[in-house]
Amino acid sequence: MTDRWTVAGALATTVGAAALLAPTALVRAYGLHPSAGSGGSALGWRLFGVRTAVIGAAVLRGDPSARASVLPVQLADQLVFGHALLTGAVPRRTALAAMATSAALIALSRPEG
Amino acid sequence: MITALLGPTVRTTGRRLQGADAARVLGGLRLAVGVGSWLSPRGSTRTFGLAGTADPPGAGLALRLFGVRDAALAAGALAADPVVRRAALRTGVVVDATDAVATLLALRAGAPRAAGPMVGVGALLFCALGARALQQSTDSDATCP
Repeated sequence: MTDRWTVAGALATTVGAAALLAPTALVRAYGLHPSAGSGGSALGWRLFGVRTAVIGAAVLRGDPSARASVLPVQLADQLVFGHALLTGAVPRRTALAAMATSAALIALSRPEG
Repeated sequence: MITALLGPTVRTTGRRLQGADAARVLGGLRLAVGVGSWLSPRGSTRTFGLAGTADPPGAGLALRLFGVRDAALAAGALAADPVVRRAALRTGVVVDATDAVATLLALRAGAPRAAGPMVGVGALLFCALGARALQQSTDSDATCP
């Protein structure tokens, strides 16, 4: 059976690598206009992507501090996505898809017991 | 390779930080950047020299998500546990070096020129500071009984 941390690390690494290497494809997959992932905006996605990919790789390696950081980071992300949804900063579909990805990471990183 | 490339910068940064704890300085700066980006992505867009670009949906979202992760790295750099601190510092050096490469790619893709000094040079300075903090951390552990 696959360990939940392996799934969490693989998911974070995949999303991060996509944001780093192909920001336009990532924003399109989440329902944003491709222009949101090009030019200067691409830099913002790449800064997010490298952090997510490197932390995800550390989760896969079993780094305890990286694993401990997943839950607080994803809870903060939920606030960001919720705010974006409420203010209409991004399309509803984008915010809900991002919240679902983040919720999966929250479920996978929940404390045991 | 990173240490070799940034050796002179690391040594200069180290001299300027004589008596200070490079990890704390780096952690404090990273925390300020992270929290600032989370609270005010529009302000960070200006600070990073990206204000000249159009502001398509999602631009603020990316900077907020970046900010959360930078704050998490800062928490690691400020941790009391030396094992956690070193892991966060190593991660930070890799991240900052990649940021510098990402900035070059963004400039080639049409990002405003101001992003070069603000993000690219900033990332290299963070990288140098991180390498210095790692060195300090290793040296202090080596002298511990």
